[in-house]
Amino acid sequence: MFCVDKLSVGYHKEEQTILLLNEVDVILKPGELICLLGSNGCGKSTLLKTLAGLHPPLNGSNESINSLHQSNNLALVLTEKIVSTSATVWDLISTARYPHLNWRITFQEKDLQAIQFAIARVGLNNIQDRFIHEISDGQLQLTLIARALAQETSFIFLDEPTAHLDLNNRMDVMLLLRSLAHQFGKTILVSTHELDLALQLADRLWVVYNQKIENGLPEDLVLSGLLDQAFPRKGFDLKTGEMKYEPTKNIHIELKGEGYRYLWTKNALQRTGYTITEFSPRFSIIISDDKWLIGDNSFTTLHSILHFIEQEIIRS
Amino acid sequence: MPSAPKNRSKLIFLIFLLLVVAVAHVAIGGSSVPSSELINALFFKNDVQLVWQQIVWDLRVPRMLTALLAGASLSLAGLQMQTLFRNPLAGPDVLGLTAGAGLGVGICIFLGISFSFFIPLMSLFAFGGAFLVFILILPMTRYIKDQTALLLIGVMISALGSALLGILQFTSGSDELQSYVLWTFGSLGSTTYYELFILLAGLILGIILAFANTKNMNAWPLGDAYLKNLAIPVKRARLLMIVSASILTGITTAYCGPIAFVGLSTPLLVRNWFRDFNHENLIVASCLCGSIVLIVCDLSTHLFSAHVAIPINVATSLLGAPVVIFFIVRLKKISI
Repeated sequence: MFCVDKLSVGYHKEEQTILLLNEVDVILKPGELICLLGSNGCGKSTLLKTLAGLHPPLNGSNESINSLHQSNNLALVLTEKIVSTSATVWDLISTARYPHLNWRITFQEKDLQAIQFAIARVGLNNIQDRFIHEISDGQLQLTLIARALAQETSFIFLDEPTAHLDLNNRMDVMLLLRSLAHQFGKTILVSTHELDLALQLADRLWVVYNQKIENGLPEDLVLSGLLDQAFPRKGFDLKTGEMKYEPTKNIHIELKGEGYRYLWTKNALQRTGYTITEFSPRFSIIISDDKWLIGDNSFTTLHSILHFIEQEIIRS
Repeated sequence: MPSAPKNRSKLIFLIFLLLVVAVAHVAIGGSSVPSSELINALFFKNDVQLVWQQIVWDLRVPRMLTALLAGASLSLAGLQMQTLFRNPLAGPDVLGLTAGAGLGVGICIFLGISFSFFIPLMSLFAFGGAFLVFILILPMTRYIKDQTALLLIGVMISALGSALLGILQFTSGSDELQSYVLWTFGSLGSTTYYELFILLAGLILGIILAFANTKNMNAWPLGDAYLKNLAIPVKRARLLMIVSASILTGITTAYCGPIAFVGLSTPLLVRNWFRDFNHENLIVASCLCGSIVLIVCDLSTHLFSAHVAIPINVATSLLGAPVVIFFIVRLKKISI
């Protein structure tokens, strides 16, 4: 377990002090995947680096941070670019063992086992001899996670490990991190912009909001409305699941139907700027199992309905 | 798996090649020594005309050994600078050390400090100049954490040195100017055995410092944040690289002049050929390759004309530039 009380995070810039987080308390428990959320520039990366001992905290030195930094019990995955055309996946992962090696870099059996275990666990067996500049972004991210795993630490901090990855790779990375936390009891702290993935997979969320960290279960933070406050422009209301659309056209449409066909029809109409009402003498859409009806006209796609309504409006 | 074993055969090949070019260098020269006399002079010493003996032992062997040591030194200095700055453009002269040495020599020549019979004095000034720049750079490395900024400061110091030299050149007579220009051409032939010993000592010291730093240099591409996390002593590692490169460049430049190109291009070619993450192999390979390249370049100085050997600095660029261009075009890019 790792606790820090009243930690202020920020940096000094030309005599000025930029305060990002004001006297926050953090606590990290073993076996938890924690997602650190917050908008750009709110101090996520700086907080990670401060906790990792790479950046000085604003309020003096902190004993628990120093002890974590010096105990070689923390592994990192950062956004820094690694410039090397001669490093293979294996080479990069092997640097995790450097704190345990002498100056001649003689890998002991224990080191080789840790490296091989990490490679197998992350699933990099096939590419372990490829050069790191020849693999994809997703594979590089997995390599860095394997590197952190090979360090055999209780804590792993990751700074936006899912940035620049496609949806499948993002999911793979987060699922891997979660299983590492649950399987090996590691404490994994991930800063991310993936609100949806964090809600699905995190054991705990840290939301940076108004220079504080709001800490809680994802569901609690949804119900308290905090996530809606912290991310007001995400386009939908988390608590109710409602998408938010501004009605831009002063046209009211009546919609009859049920189930997911009703929901997506409503979504398409609202997104286009129409308002859905209980009753409208002008447009009334009836949803059946395989088609939509407006009066005598029948439609098989939403696109054709929207087109029809548009034409009607122009005609009048 | 660790990449060490896969490159062992390449290292053995390089050792073999070095032996071949070293022997070729002693055998081929401005005057043709009969091969029987050459072997006699080298191994049996008796029964040989004094002139052959002198040509072999007082001219060719020291010249070959100078090329061997200087090539290895410059190449190893370049390797460390490229690692330190994470930049393929970095060479042994980037910190302004060569410029400092040049300024030292310039002062020595243009201020008329009797150089004509005091080649060692010139070397002393060259080393003094390089060392002064080193002392200037050292405290800056403590405050400037950014490698690229340090690289730029090196470029600026070089510019400053050139400007000061320009003043000296502008105000000096033609004789001094000629002497200085001659120094900038580089020379491998004016080293005594005593000076060879100093070159050797410098190289050994440079190699020891580099080997002591292998682990740190391997991890260096990860960047400062990861390095700190891996408990790598970043400041000490950086200092070791700078000290090692400074000693290697300073001493070589002092005795052989500002030899261009070898220090920049050889480690690049070694990196791209070996593709080895482990600096232990890169250090050895760079030294061997640097020696081979400089010996071959020196050999080629006789090829252009039967009577006059062209300056070594002309040869290194003349041979080196097309080779590097060829490699870059073939590899499409070159990086560390």
